[in-house]
Amino acid sequence: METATKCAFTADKEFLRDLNELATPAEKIYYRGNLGLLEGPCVAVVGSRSCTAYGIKVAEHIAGKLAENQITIISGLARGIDTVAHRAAVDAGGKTVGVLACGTDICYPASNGKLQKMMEKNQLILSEHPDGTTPRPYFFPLRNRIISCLSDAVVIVEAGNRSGALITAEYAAEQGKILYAVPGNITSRSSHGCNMLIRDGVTPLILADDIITDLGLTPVTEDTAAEKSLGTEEKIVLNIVRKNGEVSIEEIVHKTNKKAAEISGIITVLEMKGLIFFEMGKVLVAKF
Amino acid sequence: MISRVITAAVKGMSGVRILVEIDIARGLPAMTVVGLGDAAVKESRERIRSAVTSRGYTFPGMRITVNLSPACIRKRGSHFDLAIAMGILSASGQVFDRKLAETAFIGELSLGGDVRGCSGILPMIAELRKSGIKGVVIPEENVWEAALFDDMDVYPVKSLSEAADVANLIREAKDREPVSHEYLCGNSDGETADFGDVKGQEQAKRAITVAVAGGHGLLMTGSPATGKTMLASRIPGIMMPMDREELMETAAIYSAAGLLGKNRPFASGRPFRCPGTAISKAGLIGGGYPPVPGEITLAHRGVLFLDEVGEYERDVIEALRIPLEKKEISLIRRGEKYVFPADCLLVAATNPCKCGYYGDGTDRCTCTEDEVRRYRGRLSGPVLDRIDMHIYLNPVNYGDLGDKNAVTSDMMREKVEQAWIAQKRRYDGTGIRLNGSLDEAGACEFCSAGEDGEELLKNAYERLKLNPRTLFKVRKIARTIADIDGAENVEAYHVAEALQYRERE
Repeated sequence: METATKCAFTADKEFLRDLNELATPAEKIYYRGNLGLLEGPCVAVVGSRSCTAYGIKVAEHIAGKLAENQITIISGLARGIDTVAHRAAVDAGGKTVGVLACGTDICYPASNGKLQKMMEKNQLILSEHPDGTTPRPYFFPLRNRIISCLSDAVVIVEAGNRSGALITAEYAAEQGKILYAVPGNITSRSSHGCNMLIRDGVTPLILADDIITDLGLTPVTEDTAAEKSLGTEEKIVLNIVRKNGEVSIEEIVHKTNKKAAEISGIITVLEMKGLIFFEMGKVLVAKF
Repeated sequence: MISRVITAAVKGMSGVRILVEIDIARGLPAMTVVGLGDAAVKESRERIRSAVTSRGYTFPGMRITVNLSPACIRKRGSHFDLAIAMGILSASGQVFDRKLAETAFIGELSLGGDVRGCSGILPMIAELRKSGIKGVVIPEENVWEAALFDDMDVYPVKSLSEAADVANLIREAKDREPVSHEYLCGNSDGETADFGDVKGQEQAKRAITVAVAGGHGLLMTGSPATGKTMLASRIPGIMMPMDREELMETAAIYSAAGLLGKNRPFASGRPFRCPGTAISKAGLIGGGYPPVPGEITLAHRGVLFLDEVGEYERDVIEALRIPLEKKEISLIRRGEKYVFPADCLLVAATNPCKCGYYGDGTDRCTCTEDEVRRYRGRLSGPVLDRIDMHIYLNPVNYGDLGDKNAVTSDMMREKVEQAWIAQKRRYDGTGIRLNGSLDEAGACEFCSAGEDGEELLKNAYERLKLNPRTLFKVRKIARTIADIDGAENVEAYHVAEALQYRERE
């Protein structure tokens, strides 16, 4: 069953009024789903479409954590970081809003069709374009002004040099929103944009809890039981992974002087406890 | 007068005993060969006529009928020449026929009466021995193919006259020293390089030890120059040497395929086959008429290595599915069924993405997320079902290149040996050789872990989001790791290591 698209005048609703007062105002928005999701605290989690394992993990972590704390996650339903953020919010049983650059009846990119259909039922998707509008290249930057405007804070997870996420950052700064950039390795091209933002004075995001406290809320305390139950060897391995951020099993074998077989076993245990994860032959930290 | 000479033919990979009957009757001079021979067989009469006369014998100017029996089997090749010629000499009273009842003759003749080598000698002799033949006359060129049959009289000959001497009891069987097993297994160590040369890939080496020990298909994913090919090519060196039976099997395959030669004595260790990505379906699984064994059969008892496995045609890879499962391949050609053995260890390697550098820690990868996903998608399906273990290789650090403690082939082979012995004991009489070939029921019977292990599996299934197939593979791998360890039961830490080799989303 198709969900019907509804239309709201931004001037009518308290929490949408800002949209009407933008430099390029959005007078009407078209939406599907529960418009009420925008009433509580909202944080935009955005980033590059071509992202790395690091970006994915960070986006998952931040969006999941915020969603657990009843904060609505806003993003653009694009590939990459956006998708990850929406999914993490849904997986955490939280609230999330997708802002489109086309009519709400159109799925772009098509690979997100399922996610979009699911979100229009249980969450919210919205757009300033009426149904049937196909996406145009210049719609995307304009869409970003809505994302930042609807949010109380904006997190740029990963952005290359020319990433569209940087446009969102610019809008957020103009609109006076709290802005965070997730730092990356200075050698990583995928994090170059974010690192440049930090150089220019944007707050680097180190702990996801900071966003929650900055919004004036108290973070739900995290359960560290998993970590306390670790054995000595497991702790040694975990510390090596923590120290390096991204490390191959080979390097751990080298550093601990243990057998590859043994290390593999320890990695499995840590993986099952959700402390680390494995991607393309590298072991990465999952909780930080 | 009718004479009978024994010879053999090759059908697929196995020999068939053939009886050549020669009737010389009065009539216009003519020679007919019946019994479903191909063109090479029909043409034999011209070669035989010249060979017989040029060696000083008389070619009877009568009506000669040659029957190759059983007459319903298609026969091909030129190696019937010698048997037919001997039959003619015997029927015309030019050689004694007493020896002919227990001696088989195999070989091609030249117009000058020389005996030339031919392919498929080994399976033919094997079949003849089985049917109770005591001696074989074979071309000198092929003599070492008979090396394994030390309980038979082997008469290597260079010419028709020498073959006639055998029949006339002038020529003795060649005395051969019993060949040692070491000689047969050859210098497999010398030929296969050592794993000790591969530095800084200890985890991969461990995974390879497990894969070989349990016969688990292995997929290595890694950027170029991480050592995938280097690792794969060393695998035959850590397998236990072939026993006599296995030697015979592989040698029969190579002999029938005509790939044995002076330069490649059949005794050169376990096969390692590495077909190029452009190979056709027939090239991989065998085909043509008469059927020629494909790469998977040539890799029997050894390793089939598919480098850049994503680059093969999809239906070529798809064709591997059944043979890998059944460990043999059957082809039907002109109403006859040919069964080729295909029990090999599948080792595949792939780049992580189209350009090859995804996830190697540098910025070199130029692929989009979609391209990476599509590239991985090419691997899904049929082959992945046959692959139990998945590992990732990372570029090696310079510091590791000087690693003195790198695990060597000898250390790995020791573990493999221990595991193979344990499995042989466990699966005695079940028809299973290695853990990798267990089916679901077998995995339940032989691979259940102890209490802790089962608990770990249950948790892993839920937390790591495994699917039933992955779980089944993890069980088998854990069993192998326990076998390497010499443990009777599968323990939790075996399972924990096995989980690292699972396929990841």
